[in-house]
Amino acid sequence: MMETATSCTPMKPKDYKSGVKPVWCPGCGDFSVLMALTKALAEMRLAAEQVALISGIGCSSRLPAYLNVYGFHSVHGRALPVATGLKIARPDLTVLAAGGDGDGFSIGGNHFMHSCRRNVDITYIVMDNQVYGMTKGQASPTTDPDWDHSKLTPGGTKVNPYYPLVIALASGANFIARASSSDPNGAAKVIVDAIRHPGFSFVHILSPCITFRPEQRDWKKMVRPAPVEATSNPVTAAHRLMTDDNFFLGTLYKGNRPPYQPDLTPVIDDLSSIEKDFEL
Amino acid sequence: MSDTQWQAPGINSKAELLAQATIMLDEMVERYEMYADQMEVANNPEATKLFIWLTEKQSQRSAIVKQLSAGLKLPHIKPWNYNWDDAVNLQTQDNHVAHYLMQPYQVLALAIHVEESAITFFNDVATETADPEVTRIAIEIAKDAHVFADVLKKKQRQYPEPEPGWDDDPDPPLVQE
Repeated sequence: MMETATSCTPMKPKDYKSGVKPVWCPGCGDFSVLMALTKALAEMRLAAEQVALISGIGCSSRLPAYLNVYGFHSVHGRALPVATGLKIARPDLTVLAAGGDGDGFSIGGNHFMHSCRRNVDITYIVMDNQVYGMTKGQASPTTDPDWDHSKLTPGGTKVNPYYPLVIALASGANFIARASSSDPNGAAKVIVDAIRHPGFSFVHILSPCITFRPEQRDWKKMVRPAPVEATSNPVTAAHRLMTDDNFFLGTLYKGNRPPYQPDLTPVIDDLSSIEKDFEL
Repeated sequence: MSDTQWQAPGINSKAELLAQATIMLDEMVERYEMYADQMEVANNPEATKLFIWLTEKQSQRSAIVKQLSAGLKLPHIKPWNYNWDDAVNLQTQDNHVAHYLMQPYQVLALAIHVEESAITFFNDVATETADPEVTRIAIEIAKDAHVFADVLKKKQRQYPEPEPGWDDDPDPPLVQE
């Protein structure tokens, strides 16, 4: 990995905020994620110009506007390809991607799998509220099958939810963790560990939608630290992830696959070699 | 986490105590500021005004604690090592604290809760430490929080307690087809 520039002067979380006031609903879990992220960046003393945050579309994908690091609010479900391209082109940057469960697991579901598989050194933060909040409350891939509050899915989706951590492991993610917006300081630690771990790091953050899923306020009573240390054994991790109740917090898997980073040294170093190829 | 009872840490030096107090007050400033922004965006001017006032008051108190720290090298405490977080974490209190229709009475109830948690924290520190200087300063800080809690209670009496249905919204966000 390339060295990432750090700031000489101590940074405060506030130093990473853009000053743009978030338009999330008051009480939204995403405020805590913003707080956790700024704390993580401050703890790592990363220079703002050495960090880029790429997002897709949705409530949580507004995140880049609220930070003063480089940001790109991209196309729905396409945060990961943009982040991947950026990291490949600029390996010196700390590249983060962020978004919600609909953006990441439905519209961008295929990109999620293949980003795990490619294992480029980026950190992907998904704020999961199990609903499409921005479009006013439709079932998302992680919604329970019996959630019947949307007229689009009368009686619930009746479809098994998507298990992002299991998919991430099966697809090759090198770091898998879960955090909760009710514990922004704990989430900050997970984000720091994710950024520091080489390869594709997936951070799943339970971030309630207090408007369309008010019952998720109870998540803060349900989350708890995982009872075991992170494992680097994918078989052990698979068993844990398949059997946990989605409320264990902390780093759950730390793999040791080398990240994918192609050699960017130009193969052709002058025009004469190209001209030779095209000689008649 | 919210259902875990936080415990006063074993603080045994003035620098450690002042580091904890400074961070705690700065966290309160940051969180009140965040709530002021939320209420402003949600067009709740009364709550916005109070949260801004709370931000200013906590900033002043933070400045006083920083003066006490002059000349001392305070230890750096990582956010995940704060063990008082539940005492000041506005986001892990009952959800209605962040409601976009919240009223001044509720804003002040939230601030009173925060101060009372801080009083408990510093009194516990004072009791458990082996350092008499830490005891003295922790009691001072707890007293200051007590004074501020009284100011908040007095201010709260100027506002009516919200009536049932305070959160009724004639144009609520609805789940859309």
